[in-house]
Amino acid sequence: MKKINSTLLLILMFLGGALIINFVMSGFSVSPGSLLWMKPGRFDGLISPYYYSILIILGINIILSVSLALLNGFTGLFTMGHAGFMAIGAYTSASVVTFLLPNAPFVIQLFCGSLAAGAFSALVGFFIGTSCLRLNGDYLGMVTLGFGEIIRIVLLNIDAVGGARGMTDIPVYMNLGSVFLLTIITILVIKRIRDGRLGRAMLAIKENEMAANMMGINPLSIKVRAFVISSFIAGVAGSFFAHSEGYLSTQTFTFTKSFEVIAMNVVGGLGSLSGAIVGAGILTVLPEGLRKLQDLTGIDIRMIIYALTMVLIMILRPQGLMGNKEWKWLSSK
Amino acid sequence: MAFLEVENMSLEFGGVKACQNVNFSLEPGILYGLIGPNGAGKSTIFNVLTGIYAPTRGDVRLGGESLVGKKPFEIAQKGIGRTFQNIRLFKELTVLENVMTSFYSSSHTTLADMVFQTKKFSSEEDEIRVKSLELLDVMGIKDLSDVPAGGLPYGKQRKLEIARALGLNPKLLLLDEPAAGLNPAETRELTNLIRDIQKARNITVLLIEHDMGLVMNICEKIYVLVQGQLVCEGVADVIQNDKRVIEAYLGVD
Amino acid sequence: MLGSFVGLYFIRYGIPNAEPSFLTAIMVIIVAMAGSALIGVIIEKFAYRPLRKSPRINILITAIGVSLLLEYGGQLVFGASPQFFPDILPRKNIDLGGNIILDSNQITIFVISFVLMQLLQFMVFKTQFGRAMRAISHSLETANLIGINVNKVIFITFIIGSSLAGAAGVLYGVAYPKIDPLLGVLPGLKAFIAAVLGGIGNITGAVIGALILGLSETYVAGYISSTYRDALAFVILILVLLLRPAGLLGSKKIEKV
Repeated sequence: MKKINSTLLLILMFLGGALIINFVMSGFSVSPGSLLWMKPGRFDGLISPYYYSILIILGINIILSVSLALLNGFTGLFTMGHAGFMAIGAYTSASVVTFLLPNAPFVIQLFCGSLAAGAFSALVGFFIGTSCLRLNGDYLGMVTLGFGEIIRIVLLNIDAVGGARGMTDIPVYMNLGSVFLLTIITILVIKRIRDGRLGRAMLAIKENEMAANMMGINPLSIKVRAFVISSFIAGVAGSFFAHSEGYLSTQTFTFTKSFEVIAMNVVGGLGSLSGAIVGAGILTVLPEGLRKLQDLTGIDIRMIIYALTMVLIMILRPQGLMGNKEWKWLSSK
Repeated sequence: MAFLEVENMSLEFGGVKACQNVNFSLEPGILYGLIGPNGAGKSTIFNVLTGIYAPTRGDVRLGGESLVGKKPFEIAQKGIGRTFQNIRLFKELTVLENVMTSFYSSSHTTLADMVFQTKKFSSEEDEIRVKSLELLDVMGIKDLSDVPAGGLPYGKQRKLEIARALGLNPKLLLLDEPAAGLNPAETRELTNLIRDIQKARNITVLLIEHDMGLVMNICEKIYVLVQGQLVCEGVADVIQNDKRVIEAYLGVD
Repeated sequence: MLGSFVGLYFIRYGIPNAEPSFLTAIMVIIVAMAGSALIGVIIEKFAYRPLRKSPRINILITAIGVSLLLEYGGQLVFGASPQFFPDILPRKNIDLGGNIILDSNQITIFVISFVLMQLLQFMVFKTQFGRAMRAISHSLETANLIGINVNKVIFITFIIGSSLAGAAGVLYGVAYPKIDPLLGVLPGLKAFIAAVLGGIGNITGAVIGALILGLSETYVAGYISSTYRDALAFVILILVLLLRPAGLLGSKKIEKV
């Protein structure tokens, strides 16, 4: 029982942290509206709404980045369709909550929405995975790109979720506390997967698939598993996105978005979990830091920053900022 | 019924006949050698035995069960372990982790166990770790367990490959040129090591080698492969004096 | 995209008073090709050459990064809103009877593309230079060892490739007079898909792939629905890669264990 307790203990700790964050953010009020489960935190002057939303986006980006790292950095599967799973998750959760549970308590909405999002993404991921994961390297990237786009175009054509105009009036219930909690949990989960035998098998396949095969590891089975887990998490990230923005447009989930997540992985360091987090951090914060410049020129330079950073890293430091290394608390030992 | 039976096996790639009508059977617990000039098809036979290639004709049976058409990982799980001619270690993983990978298929923890780090998970992890360290100890590289495999000197990499294959607890161990690139002292050490392992575990070993000293020394029976065909089999003395073998290696006068 | 914009600016500032004519068109195309070639070569030198020995994935990521940089950088330089590409050829409608009306521009595009493809085919398969290109694609190291000046060959290859893309950009402007910096994204992807369909490394295959892709897109848009039109390209990509990864005319390679 000791071991299970330690995990629960950790979760309780983070839950506490989340509550504290919400408490602080709402201007030190303990009204029901300010705690984790109830309404989104209201930030009375502590930090501006602008920074608040950046932090939420940071959390979501971290979740996306580490879920891709599982696939790309750990198992060696280069995919370019991650945005597709985020989209599925976002629209699934938005639909479930808006159409099925519009008046349920927020806890239920959060739980059911995220679960439905993750499950549906994972299901689609399973089908795509089993058909495509036999392909190698570059081809896999292209096929996943194709699927990502197909998913987006299909969603674009479903009028029930808004079609080209996008989906609006989605209940907003994500607050900084819950995003923080769920980001930490995600990181922890992925770390533990990597440290166990599944992680070893994934790394073995990445290093030398033939040898892994010879050591009794079924490459296709492991790859599909990694793909499904990664899609699940991406779907959940999508649901967080939907319920923090309040509206969805398929334009958000193009190949460019997939590329943004790849950029986070690459900039931070492909084989590294800490790298995925660092990459997400840099690529979320940097464009915002340069927002003044953006206002000046009136152009979306976010993509230019992403692309430029990517290319520079590839030329100057291809192993990424963290290379293969991990921070102390994330390493396997 | 012999332990491993290869019956009338042929393998053709288009017009190239890599193996022609190969027939042999291995008895349990014996150390066999497979020799032949370069390009004779020795590694190819290993590849067929481990499921990388499916033979064009013929059958391969382990304990009576046909292996043809099975995937490499299935065959590995049935108890055939191998090393590679060109080393295929997991370079970025540590020495210990390399060996631990071969324990994957014999473990039973689920995803939930890993995520929540239950007692079942940690006790199994410890068990795998202990067994892996034992194997490293046997091969004499236990002190390097936390070093990334890619950083090992060549001779130790070869030993690690063997340790890793042993993690499968194989009944048949296929060693593909284990002494390639080793100096005489290392070769001697490896020779003894292989013999000791084979005796201690009572496993069947099939060894491909060019180092005749090693082969003649420890192999109880030797097969000779020339251009995809088995031309001779027998104990060391017989092989050394066989006309066809001499021709294959030294040419005809 | 660069080709079409270079062409546009050339028309606007270089020859603002020119009449649409065959000569004008040729001039615009040549200038566009030159402009694209220049940029292509710069990119090769700074972004691709340092990565020549890197794993394929890194090169792929860099290429994607560069292409995005060009597109969004283009927005910065040319402005994000669409601009009008003027006529550079006299337009005529040709009535073939039976409800088929051809636009002279369509014929011109077809003819020019055909000519350029023939030139490319000739260059790759019938010249010394082409042989060197193909040698490098098989093995860069070996090509180096047998005395091929790899840097020069790659340099020229990029000139050829970029200038062809530039020409395509101008033709695009002729076909669709509204151009904007992001115009290259979808055609770029579809070009790749066409190449995969035909078999990577096979020029005839690429042409056939492009024809098949273009035709089926138009049929889907016409008979089924225009919103699913772009999805078709990706569906084809997936089907090809899953069922026949070598493409229609491509060849398979075997890996030695």
